[in-house]
Amino acid sequence: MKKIVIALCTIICINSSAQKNIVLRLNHYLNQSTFQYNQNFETDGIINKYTRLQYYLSGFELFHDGGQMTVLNNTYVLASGHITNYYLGNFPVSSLESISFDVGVDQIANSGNTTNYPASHPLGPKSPPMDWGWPSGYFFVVTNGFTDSNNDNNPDTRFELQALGDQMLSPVDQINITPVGSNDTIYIDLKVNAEKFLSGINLATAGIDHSSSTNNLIMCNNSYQMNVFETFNVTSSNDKGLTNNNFIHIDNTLSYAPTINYHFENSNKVNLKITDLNGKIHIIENNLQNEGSYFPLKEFPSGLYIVTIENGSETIYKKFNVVQ
Amino acid sequence: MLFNKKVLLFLIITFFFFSFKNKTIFFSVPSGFPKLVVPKENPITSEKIRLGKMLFFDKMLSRDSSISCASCHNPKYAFTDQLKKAKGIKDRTVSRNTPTLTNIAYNHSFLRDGVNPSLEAQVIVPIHEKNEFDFHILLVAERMKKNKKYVELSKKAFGEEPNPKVISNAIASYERTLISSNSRFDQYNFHGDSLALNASEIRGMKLFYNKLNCSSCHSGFNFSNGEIVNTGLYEKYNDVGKMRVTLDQSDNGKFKVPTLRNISITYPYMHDGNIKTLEGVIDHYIKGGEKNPNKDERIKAFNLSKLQKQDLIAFLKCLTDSSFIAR
Ligand code: HEC
Ligand code: HEC
Repeated sequence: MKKIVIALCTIICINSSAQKNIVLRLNHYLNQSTFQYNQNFETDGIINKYTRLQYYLSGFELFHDGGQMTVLNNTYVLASGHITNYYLGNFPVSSLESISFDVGVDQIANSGNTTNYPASHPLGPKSPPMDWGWPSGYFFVVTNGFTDSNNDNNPDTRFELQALGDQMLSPVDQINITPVGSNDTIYIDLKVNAEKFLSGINLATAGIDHSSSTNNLIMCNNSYQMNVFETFNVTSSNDKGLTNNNFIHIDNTLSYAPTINYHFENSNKVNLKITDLNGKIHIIENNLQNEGSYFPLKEFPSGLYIVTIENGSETIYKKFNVVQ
Repeated sequence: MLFNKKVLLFLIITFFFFSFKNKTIFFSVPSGFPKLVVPKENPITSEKIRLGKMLFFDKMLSRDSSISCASCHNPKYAFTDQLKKAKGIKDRTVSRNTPTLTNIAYNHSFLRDGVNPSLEAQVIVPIHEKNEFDFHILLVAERMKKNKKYVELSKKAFGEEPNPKVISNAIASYERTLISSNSRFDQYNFHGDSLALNASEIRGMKLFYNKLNCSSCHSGFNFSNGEIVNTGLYEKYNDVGKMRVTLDQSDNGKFKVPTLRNISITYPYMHDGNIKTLEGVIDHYIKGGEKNPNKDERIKAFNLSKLQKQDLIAFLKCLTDSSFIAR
């Protein structure tokens, strides 16, 4: 009899929390306008622009269904400024209340080796690399760009902050969320105030800094000190230029092997094509996500190329240069 | 007794392995050597060694296909290049001297400053370094996929197409076979051949172990205790050593205690290749190094007669293993 009661209870419990896909939406902003590379923004009254913004999130905890907590072990997100949607997995959750996470990678994963993961895994080998190489260890936050060092309102001094080391791990406390959902998917929307990563750092003198320096520690800790991550209400926030924010940004950290960062507002799948100036096709890749970082697994001879991405109704393209 | 000695010698020199059904290889550890610890995730197999060796000598790992691992770690020179500083693609100068890979499997930390945790993790360093191969491991895997032999070996060794894991695990497996255990020092000390060293070399050995206490750092079968220390090579180091990662002033100028095996062939010496000869190295120790706040207290000035110096050098020279160089 007791067993039957327990069994019944278990069945009821399982039914009451059906499995849902959880998607984290990181809505990146720069001073309240939609994130763009090479777009001027202000931090501490100084004008800067980003050419690269990437960071890791790990240690997720979901608070749901009236006080339950689900810890997402082995879930890692490699976020980029131009990418909004990150699939976290399928969990027994029906109503979500808040989320907490760490910026960076936990100590165990951070002592591992990129080559233990496939390239598609957030911790796998990336281009441009998200690991330092000499010591093992991931860059927790990468901000590359230019800052205005001479008050002419023109950001033209390069900075390259890439934070390393277990001590950079920065916990972000529970953020209340207003989940948007469908039958099988829950979207967790967060606002990312990307300009705030740079708060309190003298970028004019920061230079190229791939290390565990104080500047890099400030940058990581800004995640919680400056509230880089905030609650976000999709319906009440109409300032996001929902149309016409389609773009391609070429990351040429590796001059011989550029990475194509792209973003379409519309969620339709896209097709990508790379041609040279004579129209010769070098790469065709169909059915890609509407936003992403595409690293061509191909060696191009030096020269100019054009990447064209279309989703059936909209087409964007960009020229890029390869230097072998 | 004689029979036993011969058997022992045979075991050591041939360094043979048994192949079991699961293809995992068990080394017979050379005498005087501790058991080799291999990461559980990457057991050694003969297929991996074969693939790793092929990759180690393949110039395709560099972006312009001009150099391989072996260009800098040349077996002829005990896996060094005998250059002051290493040279990468397009004649780019690396900031450090190429270390030997002699018995590298027994190291617990890697690179001159010991900041890298494993042989597997180290493989990606020269591939991505701008001044070495200046390339990307995903593109190396693509190059391998175009070569039938690599695809075949990769499937045999890992059951997978060429990929970054295949590359790092195979090369690391090959590196673990670079065991040198047949110098005249080994013959004298471990193989029971009391005639292997002459009187001068034996006097040098005594200086090394007793009077000069070189063995407080260069200890054990591989002449390294694995510590990362400052030897007072400079008052101010251009290359800050371990501090480049920890940013801690107390790590300024700290480098890994290197093995001294095959030392007569692996010149020039030190992390920057700044000392050309063994004589020069001894002079550095006689002087007790330069003033440096981080200098290890075991580095102290001492006196050495001309004859003693000759003896010490003679001893260091008998750490050369000609059978290792010949492979
Ligand atoms: C351009 C020359 C060059 C090439 C090519 C090169 N190395 Fe090295 N290697 C070096 C130098 C210099 C160091 C020391 C680097 C440091 O301390 O930062 C080193 C260090 C190492 C170490 C660490 C040794 C120790 O004592 O900790 C290993 C292992 C190694 N290399 C393996 C390889 C492998 C495998 C390849 C090919 C994938 C390779 N190297 C290619 C020059 C080279
Ligand atoms: C405190 C620890 C320590 C002691 C004691 C010590 N060494 Fe060293 N030795 C090192 C370190 C560390 C290096 C590498 C330094 C560098 O790269 O700048 C080194 C380098 C060397 C080298 C050059 C190796 C190479 O491949 O470049 C030789 C030869 C050497 N030592 C011999 C000796 C002798 C002989 C003695 C005794 C007189 C001695 N050492 C005592 C730590 C020590």
